[in-house]
Amino acid sequence: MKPMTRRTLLLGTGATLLLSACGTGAASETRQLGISAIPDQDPELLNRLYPAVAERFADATGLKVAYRPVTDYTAVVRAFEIGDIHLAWMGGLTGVQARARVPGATAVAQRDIDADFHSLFIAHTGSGLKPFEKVDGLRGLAGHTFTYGSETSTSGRLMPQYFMRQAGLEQGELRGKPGFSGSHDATIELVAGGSFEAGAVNKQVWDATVEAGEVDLSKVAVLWRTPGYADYHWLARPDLDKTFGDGTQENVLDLLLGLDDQNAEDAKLLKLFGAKSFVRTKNSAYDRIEDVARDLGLLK
Amino acid sequence: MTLQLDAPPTPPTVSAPGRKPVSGRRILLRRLTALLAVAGLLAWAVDRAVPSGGELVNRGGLALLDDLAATVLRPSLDPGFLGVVLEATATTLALALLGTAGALVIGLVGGLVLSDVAWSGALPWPVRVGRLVLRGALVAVRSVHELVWALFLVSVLGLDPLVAVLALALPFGAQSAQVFGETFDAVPDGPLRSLRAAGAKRGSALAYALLPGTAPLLLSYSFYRFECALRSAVVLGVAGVGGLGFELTVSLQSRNWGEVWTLVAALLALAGLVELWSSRVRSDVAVVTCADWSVGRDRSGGGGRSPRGLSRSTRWSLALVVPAIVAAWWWVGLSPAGLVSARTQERAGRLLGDLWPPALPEGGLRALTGAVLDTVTMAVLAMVVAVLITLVVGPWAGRPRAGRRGPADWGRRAGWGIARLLLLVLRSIPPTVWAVVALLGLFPGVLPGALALGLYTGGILGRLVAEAWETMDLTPRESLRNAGVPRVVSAVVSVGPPSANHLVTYTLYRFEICVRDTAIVGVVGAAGLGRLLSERLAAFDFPVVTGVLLASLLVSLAVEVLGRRLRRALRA
Repeated sequence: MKPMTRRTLLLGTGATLLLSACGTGAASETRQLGISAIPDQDPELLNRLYPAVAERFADATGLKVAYRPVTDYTAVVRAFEIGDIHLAWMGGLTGVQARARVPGATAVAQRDIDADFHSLFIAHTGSGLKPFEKVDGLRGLAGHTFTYGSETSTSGRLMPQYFMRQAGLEQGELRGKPGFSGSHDATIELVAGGSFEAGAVNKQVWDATVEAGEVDLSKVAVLWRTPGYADYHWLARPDLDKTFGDGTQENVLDLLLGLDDQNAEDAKLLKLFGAKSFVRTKNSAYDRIEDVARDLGLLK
Repeated sequence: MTLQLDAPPTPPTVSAPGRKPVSGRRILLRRLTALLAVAGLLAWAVDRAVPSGGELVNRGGLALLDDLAATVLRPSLDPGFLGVVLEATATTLALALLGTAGALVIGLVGGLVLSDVAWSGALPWPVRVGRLVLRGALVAVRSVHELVWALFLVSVLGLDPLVAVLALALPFGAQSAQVFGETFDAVPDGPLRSLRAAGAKRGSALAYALLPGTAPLLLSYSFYRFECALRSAVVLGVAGVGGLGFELTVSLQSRNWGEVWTLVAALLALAGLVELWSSRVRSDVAVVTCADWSVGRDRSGGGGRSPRGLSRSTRWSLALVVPAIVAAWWWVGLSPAGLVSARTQERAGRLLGDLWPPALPEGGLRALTGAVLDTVTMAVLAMVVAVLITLVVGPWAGRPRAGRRGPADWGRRAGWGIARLLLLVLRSIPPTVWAVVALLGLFPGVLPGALALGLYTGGILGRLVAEAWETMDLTPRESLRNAGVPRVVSAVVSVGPPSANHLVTYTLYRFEICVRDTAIVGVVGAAGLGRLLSERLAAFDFPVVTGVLLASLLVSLAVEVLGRRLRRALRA
């Protein structure tokens, strides 16, 4: 082989640069409606659910809809704030955070279970913790290891911490620092596995996990069910209609409200959401969450 | 990840003038003081990190570790998933390549501006002020971890491949600018001055006088940076940047251990190949090991340059660089348009407005100080783990020298292979993943963070030290042996002190980096400033985020200055 001279090298370089310059001039793709959701469960489940949701949204609006998966709760709020996504399935806290970052955003719909949502405190059976009836029973967690779900989860962190405070249990009284498992599935697995003696989970995810037979009930038991509070909802950016045409938000809302448990296709979607139907909601439904979030320093 | 704040220590040969002669007793005293200081630091760290009266190991979590280990031989081989892994591998490689390219552009331009040789004669004061500002800005830029850069950039650019490229290019570029500037200044400026005197334009004079002399070093450094960028590109997965790191995060979240193992295998293959290729090119263009680059030592002056010129493989590697960058650009769909759009400017303005003015976290200065101490504790304990790994694995990881024959040689070679593979595993798996594993067996807090960082740093430190050991000059040992000194004694006396010296130098150097890396294990729930940072980021409490970043900048600078002093005290 002939050794490469400097000139060949330079010529080759120039030619490739020129070619690449031609290649990148392509027109930008048409605007897509981006949707996302807080990753509160096993990503595999999310990947079954939300692409299907995106498809239904696309049918209802006649737009191209793309589901953008993210790895943590905060990322959904961030993407919503900068307009990478226009519609998001938020938790109570993330929704309130997003509305603080995007004035004018509106909570449009929630599941039938979300107006009166509950968290469960669960414990490993070897921990010696016993079920109790009143919020004061949470004091019994003192001296035990404990894990929340995601740092900004409403049912896995905010409300559990709120009730612990109500019971007069300081975070410092737990054994070691509380953990943050990242999601409700992870919390259940860590408590069942014994990594943590106790934890707080979303009741709907717990019920679904128990129903699917994915948790060994000889290893983990429910201690207490919290009083109800408002949680998950679909949140829309204020510029949704302006960007994608009048009636977009209405079309999405109609689709959600019209999901029918009796229709096989709808039922499949509703089952993945763990609900029977969707109902209207409004921003003020989350005022209490907002107060608690401010109290606990999770909202500025 | 391998950012370094320190200016490379001046080579001993030029440090002589003006220095007072030091007596042997003085040296001993200094060393003893340094030793005591280190011992005190260790005792303090252990005391702070270990919960009083509590257990260390979380026995309950060990069952999950068993699950993890049991699946190691059953990686997921599902064809659909393998496709995902292949794509992710290409994306990680492409992002690392583009990030390195960006860093080198910043490094070359910044390095020229910072170098004295590029400016002829006395500098007018605006230039001097400008350079001072640039120097300060570069220090600040590289003190912020790539992962934190990525989190900020996502807030401005959205889910765009530019996020990953810039998150790598900015801190690495700031680092490269310093190294390049020093490299340029180390070149004798005679040729440049004669060219200028002969009437050559500044640009062409610089190109012809500086580049030929420094090109091998710059090239070698660039490849070293590429290895670092590859590791960092994986870490960025936590921030949602596509590639192997992202897939690893997702598979860990769904506790799909089979997939995790497949991804780890892909990671190892990629990192192993890139390092093999890189070390081949590096040893070809100039005998500079990454150990030298890490502490800024330059061996080209010692006549170490390969006499045979560039090998064919190196020439082809260089010829492939530009097409590879183009391919990477196309693969990730990079478009610089996002940088200048009105939306970007608006969001950047908003982010900066949010970040300023800085504020203290809840609990005030005390909370912040506590977090700083936790961070230092974590870094100290991590270095203990890393040094232990180095001491146990390092001696086996040096390339066997030729000379021995037969089964003894094969055994030595097998040991070498296993040791190198172990170190590769330790450093290729991102510390964020090690932290998730450590959290299964340890209670949340400083310890799992320290263990995670220690395993990762051990993989890097072990390699640096082993490479330094394997290139060590053995003439003194031979001379002693020839003079009739027993084998063992001559080996201990001649090899011992320089080996220990290498170990200390690199340990101090990695400690500085380790302090900065604590930011990323905080993101997955360890302790210290990183924990505070991720907590406040999750609450969108930007003023406190700035406060925490300023605190970590101060810690980095303090550790760097102390490290340099300690190194000098030990060397003197």
